[in-house]
Amino acid sequence: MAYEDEPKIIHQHINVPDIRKIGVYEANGGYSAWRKALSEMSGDEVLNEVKASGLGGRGGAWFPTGVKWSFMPKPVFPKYLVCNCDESEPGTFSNREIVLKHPHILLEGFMLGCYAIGCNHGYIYVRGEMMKGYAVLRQALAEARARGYVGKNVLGSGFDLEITLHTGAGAYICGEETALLSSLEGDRGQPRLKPPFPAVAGLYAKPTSVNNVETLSNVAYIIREGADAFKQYGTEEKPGMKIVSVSGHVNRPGNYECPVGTPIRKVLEEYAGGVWKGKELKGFYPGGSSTPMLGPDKLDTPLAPKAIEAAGSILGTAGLCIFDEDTDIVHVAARLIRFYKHESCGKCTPCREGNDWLVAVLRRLDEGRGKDGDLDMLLDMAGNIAGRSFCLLGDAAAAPVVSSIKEFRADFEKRITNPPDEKIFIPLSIANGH
Amino acid sequence: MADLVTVTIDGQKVTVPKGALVIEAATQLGIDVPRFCYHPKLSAVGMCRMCLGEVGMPKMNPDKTPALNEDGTPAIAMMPKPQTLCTTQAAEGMVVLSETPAVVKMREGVLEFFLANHPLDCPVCDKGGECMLQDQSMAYAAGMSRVQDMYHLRKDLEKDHPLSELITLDRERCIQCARCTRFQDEVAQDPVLELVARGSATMIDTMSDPPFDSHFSGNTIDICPVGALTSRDFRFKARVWELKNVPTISMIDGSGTNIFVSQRNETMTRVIPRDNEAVNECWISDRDRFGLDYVDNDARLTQPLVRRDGTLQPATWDEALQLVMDKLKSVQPQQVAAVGSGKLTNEGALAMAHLFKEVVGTPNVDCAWQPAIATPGKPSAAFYEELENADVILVVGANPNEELPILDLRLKKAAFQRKAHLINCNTYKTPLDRVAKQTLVHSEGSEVALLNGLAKLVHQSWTDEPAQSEALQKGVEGRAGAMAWIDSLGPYSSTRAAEIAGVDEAALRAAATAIAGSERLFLLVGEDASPATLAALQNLAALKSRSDYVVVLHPEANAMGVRRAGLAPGEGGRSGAPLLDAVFKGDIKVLYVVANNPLVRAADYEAAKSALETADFVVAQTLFQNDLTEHSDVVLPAATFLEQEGTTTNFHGKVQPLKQGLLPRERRDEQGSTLSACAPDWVIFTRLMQLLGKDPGFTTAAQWTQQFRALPATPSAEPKFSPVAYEASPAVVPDGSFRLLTGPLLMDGGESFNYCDRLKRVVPEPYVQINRSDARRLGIEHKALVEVKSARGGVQVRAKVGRVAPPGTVWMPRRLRDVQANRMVETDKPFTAVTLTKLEDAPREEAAHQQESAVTSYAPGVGERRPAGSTQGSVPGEQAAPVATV
Ligand SMILES: Cc1cc2nc3c(=O)[nH]c(=O)nc-3n(C[C@H](O)[C@H](O)[C@H](O)COP(=O)(O)O)c2cc1C
Ligand code: SF4
Ligand code: FES
Repeated sequence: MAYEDEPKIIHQHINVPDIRKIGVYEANGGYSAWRKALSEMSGDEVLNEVKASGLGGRGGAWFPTGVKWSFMPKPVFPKYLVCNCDESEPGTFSNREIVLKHPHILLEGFMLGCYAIGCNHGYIYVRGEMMKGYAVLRQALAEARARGYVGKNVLGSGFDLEITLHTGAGAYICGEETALLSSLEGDRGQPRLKPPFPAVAGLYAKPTSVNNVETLSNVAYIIREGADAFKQYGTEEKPGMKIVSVSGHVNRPGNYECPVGTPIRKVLEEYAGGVWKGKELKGFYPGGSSTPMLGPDKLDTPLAPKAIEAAGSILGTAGLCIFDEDTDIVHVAARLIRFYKHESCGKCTPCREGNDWLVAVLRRLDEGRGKDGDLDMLLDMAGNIAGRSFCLLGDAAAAPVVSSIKEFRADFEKRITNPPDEKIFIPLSIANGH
Repeated sequence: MADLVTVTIDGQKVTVPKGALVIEAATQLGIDVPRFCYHPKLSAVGMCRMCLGEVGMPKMNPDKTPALNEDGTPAIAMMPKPQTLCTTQAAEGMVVLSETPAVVKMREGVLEFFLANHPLDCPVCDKGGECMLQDQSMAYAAGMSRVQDMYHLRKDLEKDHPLSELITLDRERCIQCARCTRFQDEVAQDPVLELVARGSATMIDTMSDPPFDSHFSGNTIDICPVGALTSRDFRFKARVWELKNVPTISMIDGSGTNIFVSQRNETMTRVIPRDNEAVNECWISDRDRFGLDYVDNDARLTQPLVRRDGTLQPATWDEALQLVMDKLKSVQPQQVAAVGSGKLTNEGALAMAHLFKEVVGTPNVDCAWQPAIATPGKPSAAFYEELENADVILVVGANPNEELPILDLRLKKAAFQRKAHLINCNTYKTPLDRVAKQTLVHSEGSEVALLNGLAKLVHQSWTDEPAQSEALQKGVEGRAGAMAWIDSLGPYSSTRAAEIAGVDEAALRAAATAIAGSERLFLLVGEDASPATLAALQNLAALKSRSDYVVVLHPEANAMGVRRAGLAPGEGGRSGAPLLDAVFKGDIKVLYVVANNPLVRAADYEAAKSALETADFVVAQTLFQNDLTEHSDVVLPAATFLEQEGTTTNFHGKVQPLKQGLLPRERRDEQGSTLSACAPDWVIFTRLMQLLGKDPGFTTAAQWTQQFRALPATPSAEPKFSPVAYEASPAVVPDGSFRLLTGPLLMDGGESFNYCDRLKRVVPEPYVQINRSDARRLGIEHKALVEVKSARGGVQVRAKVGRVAPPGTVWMPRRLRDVQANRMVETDKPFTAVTLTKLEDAPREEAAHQQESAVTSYAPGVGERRPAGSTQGSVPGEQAAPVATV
């Protein structure tokens, strides 16, 4: 079957012209789940349906969404649902497409989430650079409000719901849920200590659930079609579909929604049209740039959390970035560590100071001024960051350095022993075509 | 006990309260866990990652029984990642490893990261010798850097970035531990420091105007683990190991703050806090830290002066004391008056009281120029500990931030960290309102109505709930005057009380509900409150059986001690305004003033001035020549509290020893032999007793201390009720006028500031607080120059527009530099009405900017326009800079 003909959940109507408009969305079954929930279901029933569907968080950790919601203490009010729309991981761009093209599917899922946990005021935290997406969401929210889907006494159900859109100031760390909450409260966007977890003391110290855009966008389908319909896709471990963002040296970069468990090779070769210019594959990272790189031998791994873990990496957000045989891996590592250094929030020492030095050492290595022992020093320094930092950004930063040296050590050694006369810069197109 | 847990750290078991931090448990065992960001007085943040350790919890079988190893020991599941021990809470059975090779490597890693960008300028760093980075690098670092060949890439940052007049920041040394910002946010509750920018560019900065505006800023110097924040006063003056640290008590205010005075070559170099959990914990105010320089100033008097031919001329001690003695002998005892102050030590005060009351025989003895109320009961010996655990705290008519900074910190701790319900009643807004649950800004003079209203509501809440009321009711009715008092509350319905006081009735009710439900109530009241206010508070306290918890907040260092020593009018003795009046009329011929100045501290400046001008004979026992000595016939040079032994009593009655840190200031000849020196007050008084033929035989302060300790102790307060009625004043503020409110300032630019080169720079320009709405109506903008005028006189000051003063009032510091409210206040009226006239616009934007940069170039007054000829608002001895034309 061609990709277009395969069944989909979020992307089912994404290419319908004007699906951004509420009328078109409704004509395609939109907001029927919201109506159904309000008229026929209690909040707990919605929550149980989501729990039964086995939906796992698409923000990268794959934690079961229904379970996360049920952790929130019942008798404490107010409670908050916060949608994490801070997508900033290099190589991950599925949320952006949903927001830009299909905002109502997110809003409907968000409303259902609020209803499920008993939240009367939800927040959607939009990444600072995503101004276009913010404008689209604002328009969509205004339309939904005009229809009575948000506001006081929604559709006469007695349920009040307010939704606030908030833009960050543009920081990767604000995708980390506790940093997001700090930023939303007007503080510095820096992660907080856990425990207490947001489910107990999140936004304004009240029970809070933070959920990814793609996670929430699945909820309308689950309520409309039922948990079993959702479970017909994907694996036993993680049912449903995942949108895979394919970028790098491929013929057709883009977002592809496919069942969890689809082999990477299928996504690369059938959907994305294979490695570009007829070249060979050098390697790839499967889940965004913070996940360890893998070599061509891992191409048959299914895109499912456990399988990818067994292969030595992490499924994360399924941002699949492909490198062709001519890729300068040393430069890739040097470029990626610059990103993480730039995005380090500065709260903890290993990430703040360590990434600074990783950048310095990798740059000199990249420029052909590397020294014997640099590789082991890099591995050791990265080891002093990963697992030692306050939050996972430290681990995220160390991963590309460690994995690229481990997987492609020869390239690095060659750069030290045979430095190029003049540095040739090969553009690294992460997320090209967008 | 259920609340204790046992954890094993490096094989040693320790039992701690559940939830205690592992780093604290380790300290109990004597295990050193290296740390930077952790500080026991601040919230744990886990930022620096220096305290990482391996942590495991007992494994559980599926049936929830503890799993066992083959040898029968409990099986432990180690957590996959290392944990910060400063944030990990102890739990039963927890196993912690803090010395494994993995942990050693983690520490080396963190230190390597810190040191990679550290300037390593220890040889010139003020912190060298007491630096946590230095110490922990010696103890835990690998000893080798792997980034040596990249030192040329080390961050290049500002070495001397003044955050304020007092403190400078070395950005290269800062390790971004956020101790300073957390101190400001959590302890001082002045959130004026912030980490700005992110990642490796993260740095500390201040956003307030004036910069780093907090009375507690100096504490950040102590808690900064490195030499990033340093004192601009101490900078480059000494290496810390060369210092001799003398433990004593600061007599700047009534807190009884424990300090170390450090000296090098007999010169005072710095003042730092001395830990005392029962008083100041590890904090001191900036006034304690930077405000003692006056002691070591060349302007100090070192020689007695006597007036000859109209001018004060140096004399020997014998000459001067002989003159005083002759004078004392030549008049009737009642014609002598002696006024000391709360600045005297217990010994000085006791000797003074003894001299004048017993030896001379006059009842005209006091320690102030205005009557003040006194704590009726006996504050708990564990005052602060109990205050921290209070559930409700009622503060009336006090501004601890400006009067008793250490109490201010404790109140903030009680309210912010321990969640006490704080009710703050004052006539204007104070910094305490930031942590108060209820802020009752009431009209001046309405305190009794407000408190009676509260008491009525509290009593009503019982009668509304008969179940609990019976027992309580009985308890109350059994007490003296209960029924009459309850009847007397009749007119104070919440509506009426709220109306009289001008407060929100709902807030009043909420405050009453809190008090009614409280079990550990504290009632704190400013010393300027009226006796009626105190009585109303005592009634409320008696109602809650908390009579010993009414505490008067005396700002003066030893106000409690000097009163106990007897510096209070005897039978038929005069004090306050009548005393000054008697001097003026000639009924009192000899006025002996000790550590006080009526021109500054009397309620009415003119009354004090006339008295001094007409007095027959004035003796001033003091530190510096000033406007009082101008009117004196004999001036006796006194020693400061840092130059003598003795004791002092803080505002809640704690007696603490003073240690002599410096020799009494001397005048020497070229060879270095002493020509003359100042003397402790008790020495001067003892000597006078000898001259008057009544030698007590005491030659040491300790002998006076013994006498002081033998004085009868204050008894506990008797819970009793005495009806007090609110008396409405018929006077109203004339149209177009404002009611003048005044209050204290910590940095008031008083006499001692003239001799504290550093601290005087943070003294603000004289100002008046005007409410926003009034300012808008009058077209007065922030920082505009205005004239404030009463029937008695006027001053020209800058306007501060805000919400401190309620509408219809203006607020002025009782004293700020040479602007004194006692030159304007009409003491014969219930209140003083003033008019406001705008004289000049606020400095324009550019001027404002210039002024800002002037702040960092340390010239007070630059950029401020003042009319020619006005001396108002400049620190004496320092001319306001010439006016720049805008
Ligand atoms: C450094 C860092 C960055 C993250 N960025 C994002 C992000 O941009 N978007 C997102 O949804 N989750 C992000 N996460 C994951 C969130 O912390 C959180 O797990 C997620 O929003 C939960 O939503 P989910 O359960 O729907 O996946 C990030 C986590 C870390 C540690
Ligand atoms: S200035 Fe000192 S206390 Fe403040 S963050 Fe830097 S190192 Fe820590
Ligand atoms: S002391 Fe524990 S992280 Fe800083």
